[in-house]
Amino acid sequence: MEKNVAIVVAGAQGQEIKDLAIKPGTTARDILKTLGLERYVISTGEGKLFGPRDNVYEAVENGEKLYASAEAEVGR
Amino acid sequence: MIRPLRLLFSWIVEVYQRLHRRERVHNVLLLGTRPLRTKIRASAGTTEAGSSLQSGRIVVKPQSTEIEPSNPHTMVVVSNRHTDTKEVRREASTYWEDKGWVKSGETFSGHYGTNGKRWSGAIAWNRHGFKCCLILDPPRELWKHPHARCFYYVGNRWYAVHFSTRPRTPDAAIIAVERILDEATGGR
Repeated sequence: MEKNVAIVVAGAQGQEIKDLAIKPGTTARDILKTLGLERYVISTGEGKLFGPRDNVYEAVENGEKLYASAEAEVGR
Repeated sequence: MIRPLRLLFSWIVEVYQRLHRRERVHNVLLLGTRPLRTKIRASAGTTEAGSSLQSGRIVVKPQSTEIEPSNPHTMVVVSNRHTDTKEVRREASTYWEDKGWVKSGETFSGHYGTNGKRWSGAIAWNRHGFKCCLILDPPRELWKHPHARCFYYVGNRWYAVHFSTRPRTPDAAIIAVERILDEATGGR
């Protein structure tokens, strides 16, 4: 069964929202590839960050809102 | 003797039905808001089956009638169809907005949150982009994290965060800091 998710893509020029229906086994990488986003990360509203291979389908509820933002890394 | 009686009853029934039908049509025409465009369709077979003779008494059963609108476009279709889908929230609010951060001038302020804990934070941003990212009183566990040295003291209990990849949006900065805090406080 598919799950519907809304992904807010935050960019330098503002944000836009994408509606997706994801199937079981969909990973964060699959979503970013579908949206054509490179060097972005996906997170939930609770701050959970998905790694590229993390199974997004299992971790989200139907109708949940996710966030895609350009990757930033703490470091020297 | 019986046959003339049957014929008489049949005639009475027929006359009654005719009168009854005319009366009903008349009512519809009077009560309808658009009488000229209203069609009346009697269901099949009710004329013959509409009456019966029971113990010398004529019983007339009402005939079912359907009134159809002549213009199908005026019909309102109400659907109670149950589907398995759930409506997706459509607000394109950003992560920082949804997390309760507020923007004042060039500064965003709010809380980094993970694992049920939260820490005050601030992000300075201008039209050229990211300027700096601060956290107030980070958790003690952070100092055991491999990226501990990326947090440096700037005074008054505030620590600045150094990024190896500069955030392009406030969301990215918050998420990156929360990721470290999550790792440090045992989220992963």
